[in-house]
Amino acid sequence: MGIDVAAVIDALRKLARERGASGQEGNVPLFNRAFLKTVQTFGRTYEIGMIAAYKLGTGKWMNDTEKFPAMVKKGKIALLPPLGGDRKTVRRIFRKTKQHKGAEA
Amino acid sequence: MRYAYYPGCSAESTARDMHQSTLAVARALGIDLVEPKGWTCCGATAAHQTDRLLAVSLPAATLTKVQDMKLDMMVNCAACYNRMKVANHEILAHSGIRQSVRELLDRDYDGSVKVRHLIEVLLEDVGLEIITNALKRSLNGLKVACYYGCLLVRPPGILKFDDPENPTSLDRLVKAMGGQSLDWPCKVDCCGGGLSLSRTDVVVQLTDSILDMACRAGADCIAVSCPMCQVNLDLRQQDINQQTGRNYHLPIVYITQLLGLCLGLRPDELGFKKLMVPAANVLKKVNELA
Repeated sequence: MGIDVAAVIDALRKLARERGASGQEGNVPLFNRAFLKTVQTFGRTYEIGMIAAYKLGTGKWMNDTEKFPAMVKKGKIALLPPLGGDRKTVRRIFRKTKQHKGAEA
Repeated sequence: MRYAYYPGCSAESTARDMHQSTLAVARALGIDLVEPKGWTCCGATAAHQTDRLLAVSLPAATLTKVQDMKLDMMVNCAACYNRMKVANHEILAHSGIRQSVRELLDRDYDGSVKVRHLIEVLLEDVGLEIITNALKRSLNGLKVACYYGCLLVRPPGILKFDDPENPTSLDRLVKAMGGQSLDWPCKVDCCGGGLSLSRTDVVVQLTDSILDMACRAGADCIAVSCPMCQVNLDLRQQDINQQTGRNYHLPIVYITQLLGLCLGLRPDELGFKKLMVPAANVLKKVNELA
């Protein structure tokens, strides 16, 4: 029987985070929070919102900014947030996941 | 042939070219794609690194919508495809997870929606013979390094997409289009995935290694089917060139863009202008079939 390496890494990451030993991950948890916040708000990823929240957290505002005009020109970055997703269901998922975590703790 | 088409969030931003070329190719081949109304984010890497239940429930929210449509789901984004299939697996394998997802969604989902990648649909449902007969142009010996990355093939026990060590699905399509698919060792290497912003240094290092090997193999372009791989390999060439003195100008194209060209579609119908590294050499090479 094979070992699901990704699942093992996810479980170890979760344990490390719970024990406050996840400092070495650098800005990855911050990025994940910024990403999920836009999903929670809009039901889908909103990249400009995510990047802004992430940069606000890191304080490194200038990283990659030189690519932004070309990406906007090529339509590779959506300026407006996505509005077509079922936000109600997604918000419920986030709310209930939080409650579930609270019940586990 | 009718599928519930899940575009994924990047279809509305960084991967508009993938989305555009997917729709164009599907139209040309008579594949009917219907978007599930109100589809939502699969959670991507961020969710599965954060919480197991969240990582299953987010894809399940869309899978239930597809279940109501009574269609198979077709996905082109490798990351979304991965999360959808893993969610189905978790729900089928763990009754406790299924129960928790039921509480979160306020409805039961049994993990039964069939999730297909576009490449599987093209090769298994449409078939190479029909595709070959529909071609109007040839890649004319274009040297293509087919790059699968991680998320199409791993974990292999769950995804069951091709051979996880040496996949050939994209290569078979390239050959059918008259291209030369290269034998190279980085087909399933990692490009750094979702670390593009949070660990740019890692992504630069990994993509440099992949681009270097593709160039050594003599590639005219790299063909992908994952928006994260495409963006990392395309967008980071400028950084690598600045940081290492290299001189990469290797187009990173979606397989649907190549297929669209060969089906006789125009580059502007396939989002070629959206590529950061222009694919002029690819467009020049493609010629009309006699």
